[in-house]
Parts: sequence; structure tokens; C-alpha cells
Amino acid sequence: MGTPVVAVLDEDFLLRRLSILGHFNPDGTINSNAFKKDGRPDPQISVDLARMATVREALSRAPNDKFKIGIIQVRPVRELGLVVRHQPTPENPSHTIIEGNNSRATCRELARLTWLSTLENI
Amino acid sequence: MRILANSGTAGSTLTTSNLQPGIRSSVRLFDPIANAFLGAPGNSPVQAYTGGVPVASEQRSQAEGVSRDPLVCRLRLILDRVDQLSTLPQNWDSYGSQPSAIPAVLAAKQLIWKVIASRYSHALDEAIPFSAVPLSGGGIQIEWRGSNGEIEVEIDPANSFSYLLTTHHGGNDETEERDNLSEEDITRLISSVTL
Repeated sequence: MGTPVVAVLDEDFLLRRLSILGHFNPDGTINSNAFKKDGRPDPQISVDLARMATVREALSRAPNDKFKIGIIQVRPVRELGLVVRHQPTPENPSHTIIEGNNSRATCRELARLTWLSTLENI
Repeated sequence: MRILANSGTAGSTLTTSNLQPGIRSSVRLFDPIANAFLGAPGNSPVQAYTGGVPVASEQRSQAEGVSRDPLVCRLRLILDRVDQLSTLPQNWDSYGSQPSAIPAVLAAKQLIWKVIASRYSHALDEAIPFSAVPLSGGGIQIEWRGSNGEIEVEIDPANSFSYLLTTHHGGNDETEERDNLSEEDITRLISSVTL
């Protein structure tokens, strides 16, 4: 039996895997490319629901140690007109998606709203 | 690859003040695509772009010394970064992307040099890109930040240019994005941001 789907609240936080090799600007801020796929705005961004996963767990799903975790709250994401919903998979019960990202301006906003986790031990 | 040289006397520096129109900078930038120094007598940097693969003049640059000027170092870092994007490991983003494609790297460097060449004499600081990052799928994204706004330029593996332009009007930002622009049109847009 799979993980039941839960309601994602505005107050919830989302965890996004970020590549040290490619998703950061020289000043340490997050680049909008973190929300693009195949060179286009990613219409279905994969994240983890922080309520159901730790930063360490999110990092453990990365293929190597060249990744950090970005944190973004649901409310401002929804204020951009995007849909956030829990979509658990057998491998990742906390898997959640952000839908409706179809512009570069939205990618840039998402990058601006994301901050870098320094809480890798929780 | 050493491509930036300081042609002035020892200790000469590049400052904002010596970048004003009509005042010649003491630092000379070597353009590997044109195989010449920008601003060299009888050499028009813009007209020098006739295509072709960038080739560094290693001997010439070594003979003249590598500049330690902050702006030139920034430019060198960004060009090195663009080069590195083609050497990223497979799956660098954890979503299966390949590294940036060589044609995208060459197109990115050519675009950077074209912007530098057109803004060299009066806005070198803003003509140097703020960042260069890989795009999943093999492209490259370069961002310029200037007095008039910011522009993200996407270069896909087939050398197609797309952009997001953000301009500031008082307290409000306006954005505009388009696909499939020519290099000439993109260069003009970037120049409009980097006044």
C-alpha cells in the first residue's frame, strides 16, 4: 500500500536539490536554471515536502556529494499562480511537485524565493 | 589558455574613471576570436568578427604578461567558467543532464566577446557577465546585470538564443521574454541593459 496523499499547506516548506556544480551564481545566490529542465522552464518541479523528510534525507537522494538543499515556502509559490501538491512515490514518500511553471520570469522568482539550507544535520 | 594581457607599464590599473568615453584604458584585452587586442590601432573589434573558432595567442599574451586588474580577472573567470561547463560530469543536475555542448560554449564565448567589444570603451564593468551557468539539456545561460536592468540569455546546443529581460521602472520591474533571436539582436538587447 502506497503513502497516502496529504494536503500541502501554505505554511509548509519544500526542499529542492541544488547542484553545487551548476545552480549557483558567483555571489552564492541561486540561479534560475535550478527551475529549468531541458533548457526550458520546468513545468513539473520535483521537491520534497519538508514535513515528511529531513534535509539529510533529501540530500541522500542525490547521486553524489555535489549537492545542497534549497528551501522554499509554499505560500509565495502559490502566490505566483503555481500549484503545489503532494505526489508520493514508492521510493520517496515526501515527493511533491510544483506545477504550472511556464515562464523564465517565474523561474527567476522561484530562485529568488529559495534560500540555502545550512541545516544538513537535521 | 592565457588571453588577457596588460599592455601598460608595470602596475597600471583599470579603473572606472579611465573607462569613460574618449579616455583610453591602460589595459588591453586580447580577443581570441579576432586574434587581436581590442582597441588596437587600425583594428575595429566589432568588424573583426567573421566567425571561426577562437584561438588564443599564447606566446603573445605570455610575452606581455597577464593582467591582475579586477575587471580583467572577472572576465577571465567568467570565460574559464564557460569553458568548464563542457567538462561537467554527466547527470550534473541529478536529473540526467549532459554537460554543456561545445557549440553552445563557443557561441557563449563569442557572444561575450562581442558584448565586450561593443561596450569596451565606456561600460566594461557592466559588459562582463554576472554569471554563466549550464542549462539542463546541454545549453548555457549567461546573465548580464546593468544600470537599466538584467538579462538572462539562454543558448541552446543548436546555438539558438532566447532571453528574459527585466527592466526597472521606479519601484516596479517589467519582464519580457522571447525565443529564437539572432546573435545580433541579442547583442543589441544586452547593450541596452549595460549602458
